[in-house]
Amino acid sequence: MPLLGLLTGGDWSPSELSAADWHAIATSLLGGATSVVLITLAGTPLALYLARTPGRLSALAETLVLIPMLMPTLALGILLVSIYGPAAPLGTTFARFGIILTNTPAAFVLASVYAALPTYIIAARAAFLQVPPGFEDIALTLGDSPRRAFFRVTLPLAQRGLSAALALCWVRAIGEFGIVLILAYFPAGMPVQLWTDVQDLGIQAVFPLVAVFLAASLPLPLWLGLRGRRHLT
Amino acid sequence: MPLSVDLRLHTPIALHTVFEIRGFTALLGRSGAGKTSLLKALAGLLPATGTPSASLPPQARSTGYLPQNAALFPHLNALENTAYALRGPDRFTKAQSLLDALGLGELAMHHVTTLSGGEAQRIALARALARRVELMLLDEPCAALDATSRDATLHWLINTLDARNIPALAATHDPAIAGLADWLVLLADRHIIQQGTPREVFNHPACVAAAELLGFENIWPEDGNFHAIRAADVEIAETGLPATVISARAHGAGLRVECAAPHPMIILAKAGEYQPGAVIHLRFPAGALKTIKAS
Repeated sequence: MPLLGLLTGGDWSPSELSAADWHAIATSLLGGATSVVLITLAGTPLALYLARTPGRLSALAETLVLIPMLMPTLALGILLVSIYGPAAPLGTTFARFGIILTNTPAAFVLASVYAALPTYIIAARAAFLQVPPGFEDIALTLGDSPRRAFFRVTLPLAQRGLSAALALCWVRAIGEFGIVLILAYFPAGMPVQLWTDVQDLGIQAVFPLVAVFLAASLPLPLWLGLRGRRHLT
Repeated sequence: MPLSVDLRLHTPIALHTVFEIRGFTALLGRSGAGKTSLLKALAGLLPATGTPSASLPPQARSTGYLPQNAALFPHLNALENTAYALRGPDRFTKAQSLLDALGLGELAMHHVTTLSGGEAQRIALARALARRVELMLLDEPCAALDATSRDATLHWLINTLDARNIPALAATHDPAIAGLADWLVLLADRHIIQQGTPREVFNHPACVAAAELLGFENIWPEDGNFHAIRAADVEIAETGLPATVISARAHGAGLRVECAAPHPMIILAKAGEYQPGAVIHLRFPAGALKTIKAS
């Protein structure tokens, strides 16, 4: 139903996107993709650890992962600025190495990672929990190293759940508004640009960018979802 | 050539087992006795100390392992499962040859979810045999199978391993399966309580726990020792040990009679009238009654 709004509402006559819009699209796509790559690399081993390792340390790690997901995003953004901001200890440490973590592309990636990492880890953990650990044991007795068994057995069997985790991660990374608004107002991604366009031009004028925003965020989850269904049949 | 095992486990169950594997060896024990843990330790999947190969990781051992449910990889078909342990471009050809040699060639392209329990066990054995194995471990190989396919699958497994001269250790809680083995090992109270040929072990249970594992329904103390006899071996006669009928229930073509003599006794009797409270006389045929020395 919400997609019908694209057809029935809005003013499509100024169909050209502004330079700021194009910049926002590039920021969102590049920043979102970078975040998803970082999240996949860091989050997959952590999700596997949480799925496979019972105990207090694992429970503590899970709690730490969950906290950012449960926090209001604007509040989280403000807290992140207080940590990574130019005057904050962590911010100044990074700045010494030339990495500024407010209002830079790096800040955009950082905000997206904080927005999407918990979602990815929780969903990926659930995907790994679906795979009985006995299959990896069998692979070991068939001559595989633990690493090879993971890639040949666990990963393919968790693929459907991991696809869903990746889809959710992409949507969260590219669609995040609250944290990005505080931590990376510049360079504006699509959500922040849409918000400023709405403020400046009115809601009727932002439909072209809304269409691009949807086109950028929906195909990957839809493709991963359909791929998962094909594997089921 | 017997394979000697002297293995000590600490987790998830503390066990110290010393026994031999000769041909198709059955490891008989109750559920929870540690049979699966012992098999996993032999496969290198659980930490243990001792022999054989306790320090080697599972992938470095020449040990095949068949878990209770076959555990075929559900994302691969039967041929791909069989080829799993093989390497090189001709691995599928080799796997197909192996399946053909085992009479399973027709199942090659079947998805594992379409296989019956017996077929899955056979493909799982083929998958394990694709690798050079010097010992095969089978965990309750027929527990998940129905009665009709159980015997056929078990005999197929034993014959296939025999034909390749591969010793095997099969964990089971079923004395009937244990009776088919070349060598029988009894596990109870966290150690091996008896081992020998099935004939020796069934004829001479070493202790009460062994008799219980072997399926003796009637075990009672007498004259400082224990006596054991199977329910099917007890005869009802004109004279003999008097016993009072407690209950009688249909058992196949006959009856299962519970009585007190005065110790509890179970008898599998042919058809007849056994009213509760009636006194019958029990006779124990020579050879059927086992005497177990109290330890």
